[in-house]
Amino acid sequence: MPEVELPIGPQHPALKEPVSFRVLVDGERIVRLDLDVSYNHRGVEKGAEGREFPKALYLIERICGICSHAHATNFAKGVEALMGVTVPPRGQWIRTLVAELERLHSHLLWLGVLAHEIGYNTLFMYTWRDRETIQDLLEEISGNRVNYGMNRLGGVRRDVSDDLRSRALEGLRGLADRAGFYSRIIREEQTLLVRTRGVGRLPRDRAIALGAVGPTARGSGVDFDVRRDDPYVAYGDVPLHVMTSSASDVFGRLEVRVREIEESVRLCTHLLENLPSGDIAAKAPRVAPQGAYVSRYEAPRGELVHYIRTNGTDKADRVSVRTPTLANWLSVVEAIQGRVIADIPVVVAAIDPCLSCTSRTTFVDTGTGDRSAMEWDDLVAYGIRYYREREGLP
Amino acid sequence: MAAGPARVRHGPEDVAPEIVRELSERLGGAIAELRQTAPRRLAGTVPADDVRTVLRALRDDLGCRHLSALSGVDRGATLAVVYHLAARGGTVLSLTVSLPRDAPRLPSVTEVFPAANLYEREVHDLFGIVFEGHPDPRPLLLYEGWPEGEFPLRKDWKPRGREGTNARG
Repeated sequence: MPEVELPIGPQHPALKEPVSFRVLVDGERIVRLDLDVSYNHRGVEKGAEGREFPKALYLIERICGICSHAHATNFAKGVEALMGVTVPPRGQWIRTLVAELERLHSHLLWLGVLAHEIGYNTLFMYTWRDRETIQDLLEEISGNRVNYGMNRLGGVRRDVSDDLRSRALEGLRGLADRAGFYSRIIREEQTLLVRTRGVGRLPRDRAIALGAVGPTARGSGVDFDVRRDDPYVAYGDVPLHVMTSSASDVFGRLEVRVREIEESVRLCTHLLENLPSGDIAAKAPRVAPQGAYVSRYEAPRGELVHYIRTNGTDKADRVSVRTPTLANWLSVVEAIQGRVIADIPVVVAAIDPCLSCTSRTTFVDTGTGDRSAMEWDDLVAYGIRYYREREGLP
Repeated sequence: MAAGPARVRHGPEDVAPEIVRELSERLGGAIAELRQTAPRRLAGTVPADDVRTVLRALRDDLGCRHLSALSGVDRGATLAVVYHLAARGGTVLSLTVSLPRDAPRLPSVTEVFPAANLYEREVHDLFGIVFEGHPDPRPLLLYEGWPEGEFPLRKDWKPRGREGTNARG
């Protein structure tokens, strides 16, 4: 049987960078995966150079719709470090609270997407319903469901009232039960285990060599979390447990995220119960002296890096952004090798790139040049059917 | 499943000054202008020809196993590549390699850090810096119709407004 090239993508509006995968297959087996992320370079880094710091902050927040607070906070704390501004504790704690709520919404969204990819739509409905609790809290705290706009240089824009605090704590109590439930079912539910255990193997040393970050790295036993290792905002002052799994496959990445949901609920509760009093922001100057700072942040998908250079004006000279998804691509390329076509949706979804939307797939037979188009949904259905037959299920 | 130890309050001790001592002991003068720029942040410069050797030594002898990021920078007279390495204790070591603007070339570090693969391709696309020996030097970020020889993050590059649009010049 000749090797066949199987292109997937590039169109799917949920990801900031549309991505196309070209998969070389020999029968069912994947020989090689090649990726193309060139479809939508938006020039945000160039745009940030021409804008005053407060406007650049507004732009940087829009790099990602799902982890917008990660980008905004990372940029703000980097510029504050260069300006020599100290954010008051209450401002830092509110930033941390929104960061953990964002991690919760992102992980719950991901868990739903993964469940959907394997045809487990009950879990998808459960997680997205629970995610609404978080979305409502984020909206009450910031005024927005996405792009919260909580940051300003020097602190945060809005305070958290005592009344809101008690309502948030009530919502979190309900979520703690749900997080425990998810933690239990991922160990018992065969639907999940069959599709994730042993799938998308990424040994620990390979995860390190390929520069994997976040749950992708921690799911392969790499004990690395910027919140603990290079603490920022309030992480130096709160009890935080870093979750790792030695499973080193899609199940490992799943286990880490589900445990992080439990941990983030605990952390949010701690932050709300112990919120320090005082100001929420300090006054920031208009200009930053000449300098350079590497700002790091543990985004829901892993280590996020902003390298900010300033030149004594009110604009940054350079803002270099390395997103966690870019760091995790090479791991997908490696983890998919030798697996079957039916595993593409879960292995790709396991790094959480939000790819699973509207991508279409084209099969090209290299022998005859024949093309046949396939929707991403069809590929997902194919994966479900493949495992159903393999497991001898009706 | 293992849960790491609960963190010590108020953050880890800043080991950056200790790392500076170790670097000068073990690498001699390989890293010039080595200095601490902020808590847990170090910076230095390395000549283009030495970058592979220095990064290998950092990985093997100093336990810097994670290349966090790679940044291209336009400094006017020169271009530069900055390697951000994660060292112990949450320290980030940023090493700058200066390159002449008319011939910006330096060795690829992909054989030391496979993680540099996509990062080097990104810097090539945006700054026109050539990484010699890169195993797969195709364009990464800019689409297939992007004109050759245009590097949008160089300071002298300005977006060209198309006729009939409001694109800003």
